[in-house]
Amino acid sequence: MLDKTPLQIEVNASDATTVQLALIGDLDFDTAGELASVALSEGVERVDVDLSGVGFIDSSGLAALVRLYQRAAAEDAVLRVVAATPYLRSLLRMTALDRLFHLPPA
Amino acid sequence: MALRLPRDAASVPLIRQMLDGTLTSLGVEPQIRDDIELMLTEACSNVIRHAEPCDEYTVSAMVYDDLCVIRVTDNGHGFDPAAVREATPGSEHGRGLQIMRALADDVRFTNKREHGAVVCLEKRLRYSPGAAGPHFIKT
Repeated sequence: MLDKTPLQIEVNASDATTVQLALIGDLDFDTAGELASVALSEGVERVDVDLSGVGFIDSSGLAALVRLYQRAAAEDAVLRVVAATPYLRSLLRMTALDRLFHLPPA
Repeated sequence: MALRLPRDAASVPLIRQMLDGTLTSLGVEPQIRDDIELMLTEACSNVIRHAEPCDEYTVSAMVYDDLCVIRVTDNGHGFDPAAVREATPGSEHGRGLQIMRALADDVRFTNKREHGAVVCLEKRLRYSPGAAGPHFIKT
């Protein structure tokens, strides 16, 4: 069968209340399910997602981020997108997700 | 170019990269290529998600002068774009159509009389300075 597109998820939980995620590769229909494997432990308050290493994202990738946002909210944590490429920024603005994910101005 | 593909998620990055490679060779501007990659991906992932019960679909892409026309065709049970609800900011689904409509210059959905649906996407191309494309694409 065809190969999957690569997605690398780097998790850094340096303190108990903050999870830092760096996504590298393509976050698309093919790989979006992998975000479900990110563990959010009890007591987490912030989930910071760095998308500056994401070369391609589609609506399935955006949906996976919304699911992660909802899982974080269920733990009373806030998910933020802390970095993104210009193309991702314009896509987040187009879909009005920039506000949901608290995207800081460029 | 035209390809018949398995209705499998892994076919989407394949066709996306193939079309991007072709448009790069023609010298299409990166921003336009990014838009085309994304709208093509949305059209193909819709087929993979919804076009029950077919197990293959077809993608064709044609370039006429400064227009790229992409057709994604399946043999599933058809598709009603009017039945798709708009995405609200917190909802998971419904952004694929929104993205296609925002990026393409024209989007048309047609249901075939027998079985299946055709999505036709058009995008005006812009070429980088000195690009090869405009010299040998003539209608």
